[in-house]
Amino acid sequence: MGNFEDELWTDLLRAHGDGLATAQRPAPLRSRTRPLALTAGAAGVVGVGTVLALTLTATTSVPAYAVTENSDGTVTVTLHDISGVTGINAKLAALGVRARAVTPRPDCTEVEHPDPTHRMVNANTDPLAVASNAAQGKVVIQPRAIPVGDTLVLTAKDFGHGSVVFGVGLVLDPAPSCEKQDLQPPIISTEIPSGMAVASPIPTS
Amino acid sequence: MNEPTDAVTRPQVDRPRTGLLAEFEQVYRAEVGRITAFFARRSREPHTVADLTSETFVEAMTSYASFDPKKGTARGWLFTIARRVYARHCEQAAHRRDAARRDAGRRVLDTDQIAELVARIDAERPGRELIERLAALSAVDRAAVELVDLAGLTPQEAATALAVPAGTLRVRLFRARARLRRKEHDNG
Repeated sequence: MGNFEDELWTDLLRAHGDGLATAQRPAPLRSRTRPLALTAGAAGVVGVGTVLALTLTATTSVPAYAVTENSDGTVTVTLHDISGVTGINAKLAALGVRARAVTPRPDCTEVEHPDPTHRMVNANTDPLAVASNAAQGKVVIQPRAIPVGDTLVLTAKDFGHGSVVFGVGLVLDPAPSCEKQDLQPPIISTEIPSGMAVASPIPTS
Repeated sequence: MNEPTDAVTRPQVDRPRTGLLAEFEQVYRAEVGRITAFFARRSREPHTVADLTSETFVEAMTSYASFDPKKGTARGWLFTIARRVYARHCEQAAHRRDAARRDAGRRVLDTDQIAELVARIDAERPGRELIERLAALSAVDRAAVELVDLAGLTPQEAATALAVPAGTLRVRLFRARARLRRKEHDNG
């Protein structure tokens, strides 16, 4: 391999080697009848309380993700397929936005430290909010509102059948590159009404 | 709080590769040249070739666990990704703002790497010319010739990459080659 290809491989290893080293091919999918849901574990970084959860339906005709810089300085992130997480991170890094998309994994050993001091992140009407859902299936980030020393973590959870859900939270740097997936009760993802938490338990009945 | 583990503290580049990572490394080393050439036939700009190659392998590496070897070869799967990456690139290139943003986030290349990629681009000139000669054919016919005759995919792999049945791919390949031969003959 040439110099370029060697260096690219080194960069790939550095950025994604840990994830692939511990990854396994999934077992054959079983049919799923439950509503689309975000486990509390998947939203683990949102330890300070609020979950911004968006449900998207992916189709094969749309890109896996989109990251758009808006004229007002905000950045819109859309994820249609879990494979777009790395692309999102590359774009966010290129734009200098201190945010990172991660996926929950049972074997993740990285430790996250939710920011305990910062007011929560999503509010459609609050200009100081770090993130909000301006439209169906999109997270809008206010890069300037992310506190110094923090990273906004977007936890992407794939429920199969093209459905991807985001959890959003602020963590103290350094941000993890993955998230521990635990077995806490799932919570339904719903629309954000007006800057309030959007996670509610799935009825057991 | 969990104690930091070896997996966290020791860079992956220094560790022996296992499992899917070891498997992916073999795929990368076997195919990176073909993927780079694929983009070198489409762009004469080293940074663009570098970015598109990088984007393809980032996407491949982060979704490799979902790749099912029972359904096709890694080469066919990689070219599916490469074609999608290139289509996205073309779409973004149509918008000036996106292009400017892409420039801002470009992969940094040193002079040796630029020279290396320029050489790759030069080496793909015959391939580019062939693609230009096939311009009159349909997109699938053109892609079939390129993937099989230039990129070295089997017809089955090319069919996977183009999302068409293998039989259809073979028919289109035969037809496209015949047209190409006729055109060459007509041109003397």
